[in-house]
Amino acid sequence: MNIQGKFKEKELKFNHYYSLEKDSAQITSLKFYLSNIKFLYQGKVKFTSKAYYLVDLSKDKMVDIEIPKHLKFDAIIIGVGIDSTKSVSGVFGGDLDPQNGMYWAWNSGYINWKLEGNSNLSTKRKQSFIYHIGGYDKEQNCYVEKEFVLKGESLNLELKLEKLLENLFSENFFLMMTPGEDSKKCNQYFLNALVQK
Amino acid sequence: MKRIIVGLALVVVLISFKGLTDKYVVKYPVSWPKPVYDFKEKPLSKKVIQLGRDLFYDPVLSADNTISCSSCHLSYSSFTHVDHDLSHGIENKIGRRNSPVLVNLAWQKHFMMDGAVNHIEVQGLAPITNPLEMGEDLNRVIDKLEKTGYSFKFKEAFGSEEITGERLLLALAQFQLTFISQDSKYDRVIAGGEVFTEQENKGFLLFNKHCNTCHTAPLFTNGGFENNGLPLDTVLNDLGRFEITQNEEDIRKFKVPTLRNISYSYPYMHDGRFKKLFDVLKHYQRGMESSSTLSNHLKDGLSLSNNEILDLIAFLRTLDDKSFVFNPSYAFPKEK
Repeated sequence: MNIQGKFKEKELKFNHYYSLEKDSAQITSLKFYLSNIKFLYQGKVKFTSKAYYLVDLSKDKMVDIEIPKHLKFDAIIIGVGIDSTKSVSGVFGGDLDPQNGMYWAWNSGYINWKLEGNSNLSTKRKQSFIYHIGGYDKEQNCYVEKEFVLKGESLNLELKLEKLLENLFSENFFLMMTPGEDSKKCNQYFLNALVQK
Repeated sequence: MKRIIVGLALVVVLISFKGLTDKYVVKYPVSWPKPVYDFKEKPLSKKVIQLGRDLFYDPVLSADNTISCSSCHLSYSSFTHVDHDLSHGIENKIGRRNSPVLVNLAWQKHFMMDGAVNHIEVQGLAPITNPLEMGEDLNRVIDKLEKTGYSFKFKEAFGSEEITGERLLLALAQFQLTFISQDSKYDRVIAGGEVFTEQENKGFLLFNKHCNTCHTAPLFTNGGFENNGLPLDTVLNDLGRFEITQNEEDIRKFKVPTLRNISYSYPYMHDGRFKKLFDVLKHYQRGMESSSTLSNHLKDGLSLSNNEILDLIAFLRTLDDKSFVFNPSYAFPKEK
């Protein structure tokens, strides 16, 4: 699977200012979890990968998923974030290790996606925007699965950042670091911005 | 061929025997409910526990290397910070809450007064990274551990020298899971080996009438969240469980603590506002403040006479477990 950060159709460069209509923004950090990846054929789930992937778009472009040989599939379902069962099952290592800075110490649970940067549109300190979106418990749940129908041999995804930022800024969301209704709104924008090429 | 088979069989037996001796089995009375922590799925290892103990007592986990877990959780006072209403962390910073006892944690679903932590294996992260407590960053802690000779200890415990957040937190959790308190006078009376005094028995009957719904035996907590009518401290402004769930029905609710080892854990309540048990019971007798989230079990008030208060206190003292507070395997690890 290929995942690419895109800003206005060009590959995302970190720590580089982009223009948004009349204004500008730069991304300094962008990480997210992908999990429970299911492979479907003709509408039925044929294989579910048990692995959890932390994608850091400043360095990762590809996610390698191990699947059985000769697996036939025409659609993929991807979970964005970490599901609630995993979130209450204790500590884990590898991509799930709290060392990755994607786990809340003060309110147990994973940060599904982290987006940080600066924009002259931000009213916050240092004109920053910080989104740490998570939450798994009942109404706070931000774990959502999205289905992609395969167009070719591998899945090529894009995260359309100018669209994501415009949506977030339009709601006046610049700092979002706790679970709740607003985080869920942000999460929906993220999902909308994650599309197949 | 026969020799090879015998040789292999010996090796297999030796390996499995070694596995058996490293396993630590948590013992508790058969009448107790099943622990929340799945010991079958995640058995404890003596070596991991030993590592957890070393870490628990090591102030290297804090930003200025002065505060260890034991700074606020002292084994001699049932792992609480005795005589402090609010605990203090690095640089004399004062925290927001009173340190709870660490007792029978394997039966807890929620950790921290507001249930912020949902699993014991991730609990260690909270104090380590809280700026008022240890104020550290997990990666910096690991860096310090590598530089202070812990790689060897991690190899002993986990089989390889790699120090990770997962291993660090798991070791701390395993050590704490061994804190089982089940040898108080109360336990011995229930098992049939001792009897209550007349006053303790009166207190026991009062307890069953007024307190057992929330402070349910044998753990002396039902693990739930309740508002017990404490007037709001407007400086601390601590809304408890609400701060986690954002659900208005949870305003001013806090986790029901265990009453085991209660003599050792003064002062009492989430902000340590009551120095003595007598003050606690006076609060229940006539100090409770009404509010929409006041516990249903307390809405009609608790009619207790002053004599009954003394009886209750006598009973509560039977929940103290000396063998727990003086257990050498919980105390500061001495160098071999």
